Amino acid sequence: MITKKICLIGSFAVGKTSLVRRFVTDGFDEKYQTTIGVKIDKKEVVLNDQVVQFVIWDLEGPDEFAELRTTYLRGASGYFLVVDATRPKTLDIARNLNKQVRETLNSTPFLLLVNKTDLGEERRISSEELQACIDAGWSVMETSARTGRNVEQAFTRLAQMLVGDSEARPI
Amino acid sequence: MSSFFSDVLEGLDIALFERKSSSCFEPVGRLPLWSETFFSANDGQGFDLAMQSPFLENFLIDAEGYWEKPSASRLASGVWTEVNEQQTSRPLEAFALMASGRQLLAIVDLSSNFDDQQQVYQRARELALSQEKLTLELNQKQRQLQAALEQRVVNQESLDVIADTVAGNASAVLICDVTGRVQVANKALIDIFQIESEQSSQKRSVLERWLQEAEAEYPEIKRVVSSGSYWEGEFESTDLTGEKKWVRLNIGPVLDSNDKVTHYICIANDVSDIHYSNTNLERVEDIDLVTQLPNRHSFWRQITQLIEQATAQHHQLALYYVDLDHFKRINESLGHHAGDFLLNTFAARISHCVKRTDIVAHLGGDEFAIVAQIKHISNIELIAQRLLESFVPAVTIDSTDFRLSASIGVAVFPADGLDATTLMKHADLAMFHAKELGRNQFQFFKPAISARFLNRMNLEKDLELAIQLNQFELYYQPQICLAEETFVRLEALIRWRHPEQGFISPAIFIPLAEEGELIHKIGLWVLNTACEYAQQFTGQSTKVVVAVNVSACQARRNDFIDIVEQALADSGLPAEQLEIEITETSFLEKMDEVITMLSKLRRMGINVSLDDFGSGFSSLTYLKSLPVDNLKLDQTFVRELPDHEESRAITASVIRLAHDLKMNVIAEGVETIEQLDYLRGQGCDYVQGYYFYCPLPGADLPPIFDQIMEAGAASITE
Repeated sequence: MITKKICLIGSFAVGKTSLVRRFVTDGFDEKYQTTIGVKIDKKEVVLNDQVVQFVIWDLEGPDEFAELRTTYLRGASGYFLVVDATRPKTLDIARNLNKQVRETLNSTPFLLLVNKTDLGEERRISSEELQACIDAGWSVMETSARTGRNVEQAFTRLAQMLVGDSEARPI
Repeated sequence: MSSFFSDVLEGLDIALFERKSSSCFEPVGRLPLWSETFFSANDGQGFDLAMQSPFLENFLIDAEGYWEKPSASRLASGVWTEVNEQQTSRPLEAFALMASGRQLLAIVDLSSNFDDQQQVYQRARELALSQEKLTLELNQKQRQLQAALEQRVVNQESLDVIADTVAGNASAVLICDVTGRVQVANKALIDIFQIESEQSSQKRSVLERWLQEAEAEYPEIKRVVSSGSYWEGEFESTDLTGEKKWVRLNIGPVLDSNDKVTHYICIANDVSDIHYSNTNLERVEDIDLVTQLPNRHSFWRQITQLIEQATAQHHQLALYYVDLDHFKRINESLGHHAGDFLLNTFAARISHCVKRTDIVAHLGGDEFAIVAQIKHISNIELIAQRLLESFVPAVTIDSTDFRLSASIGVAVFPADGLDATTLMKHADLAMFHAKELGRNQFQFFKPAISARFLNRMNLEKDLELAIQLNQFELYYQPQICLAEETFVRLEALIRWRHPEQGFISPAIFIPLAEEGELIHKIGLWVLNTACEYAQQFTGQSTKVVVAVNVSACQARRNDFIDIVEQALADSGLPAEQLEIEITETSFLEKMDEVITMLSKLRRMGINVSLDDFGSGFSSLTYLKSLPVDNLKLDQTFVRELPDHEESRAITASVIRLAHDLKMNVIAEGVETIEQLDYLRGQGCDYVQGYYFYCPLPGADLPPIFDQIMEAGAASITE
């Protein structure tokens, strides 16, 4: 079985843990519970008729208490940059984090996930700002861990980016 | 690997491995139980930790580098949550270490403190989120207002009409022409930013002042604004009264058809509260959640800074180390919520005893530290007195008044130490001394306290070895029956023959043992030895009943009955020949449980005596519900017999009461014939003391068993 390490990176409270939970167990908890350190989950997907195990590293969102430890990124095949659609600041943070990440994972595929899109009226990240990211060569997907919107698709798309395969599907 | 070291690792929840090869780690000592559910050994190949944990696989790459060339005392992995196949999770942190040339990996279970840490982070991040949301909403409103006003000005709506509609707006609104002349200024602008409404020159200066103030943080602001571009940002501003405020400002230029600036529309809000909350947020990690005081981590930083200042300015500081007396009992009996409420209340009271500029911190548990800057030496004692008095008023919880006291140790900078560590150590020793002297007092540090403490530490160390080295002995003191008796009653009394200091009194070493787990080992040794001693006479003409003293902490153990049963089974001593002596303090906590335990002992046939009756709180109301056979009258009363009237009255009453409750009375410390005669006259059942026999080694007793049996009758005076 092939194993692929992928990381979730982003400001605190953008929903990284919820995205993993939705993907791995199809669950969701309304209550925000902050992550300390790293939590690792595993899920198998089928890529090109081959079972691939995702080892998913959910990294604590950096703030004044915690910094991004780039040693945790070692060996990652791909990563998600996660932002909260209702907090423009999280996109600024994601941009800065990505600069740090690129120093370790130079050409590793990544996907920007704009999470919490279910909170439509509270949305504050504009489509212009996202277009600027796309123009910079970023792949962007809008997700909602609460409703499950695009969560599985995001993992599948990253898997495709890792292997250049359009046949990836979860099992 | 000593079992001591194994115990320490286990107690600290540390799984320690030695690296044998990149894929093989051997455990050092016993592994804690939790580790077995996460890491397992390959058959005879040690542990392949990298294979079993992706996190460790990653960390071991860094660890390899460290082990090859250690650049610090250890390398930490950071915290991670390991999840096993049963979906059980555990927060862990790994450390790579080198010790005596051995490459070690310590995996520490952080479960015990993890919830607290998570609570702090959670709270801080929730606060940060709410601040972020508040700022976002405010910005949105300011922008909307600015855009709406811009449109109205572009539409050439009358400025007087605009002024009327924004007059009551909560945001400050300022509309100027291109020269800076004020056209519209609403009430909020005047109120919040303290400009005078009638002086347009001052009003004009507001925008200029803001531009100047903002320039410190945004050097480009004047260029941006004068070029007709929109600007927004936050900066610190000083109003006309000299008060500093944080201002969130939007400046939107209004352009004519030739793109020339005609007006500036400024919307401002005082965001000091949000800004300072954000600043405070950075300090959340330093605040104790229960008391809202600085925590230990913050205290160390603050005291170090204060000492640096005091050194430079030749000032004195007084460090007060405050420990609440018997706080543990409150927590155990009333629960942690009540305990937290008390800590919170006392934290507030303590804070009022010193100046605002002094440090008051909650170090954890029931310990507080205060550092006061001292101008006059006499103030040191005054503050200590004030601190003690702050504990005097009762605290009411659920309609019940609770009174607590505190013990305080004081160390003074620079006399008692030049650095934070020394001062803390000395204040702690002084506090400890205050506890020893009976609590509810303060004590200043003196070098002699330090020496005493060292002696005590050495004694504790020796005590640990005393059982292994066979240094304990049991002596037995006969209890003489004043009526007819068919057996010999002996009280077993422990003696410690120290190799250098000779006999050390139990009054010294038992309290030491009671502070740790050692009392259980000593208690077990006494019980087994006494049972074996009494059993050797079973089947002989003289039957021996042996009384064994049991400390309060032994009596409160859940497995105490099992221990006694085991001692009887191992020795073969019939239960009715064992007597358990407990003190009143055993009932202070978990009274119901102790009563249940004593009832079980009696059902087994074991006699129970209540020791030192009269020396403690001696409530007569509880006495009737206690399952005891004998009351041991404290020797403080016996010593004063028969001359002391009150002691006579108490003794007579206790004997009468005990007999009414179907209990026997044993009088301790009988040393004179007068004492004996008085006790006999009152109907006392047994006496014990130097008048008859001092405690004797076990081997000396069998030859005098007959004398002991007859001693009561023989002592009757004409």
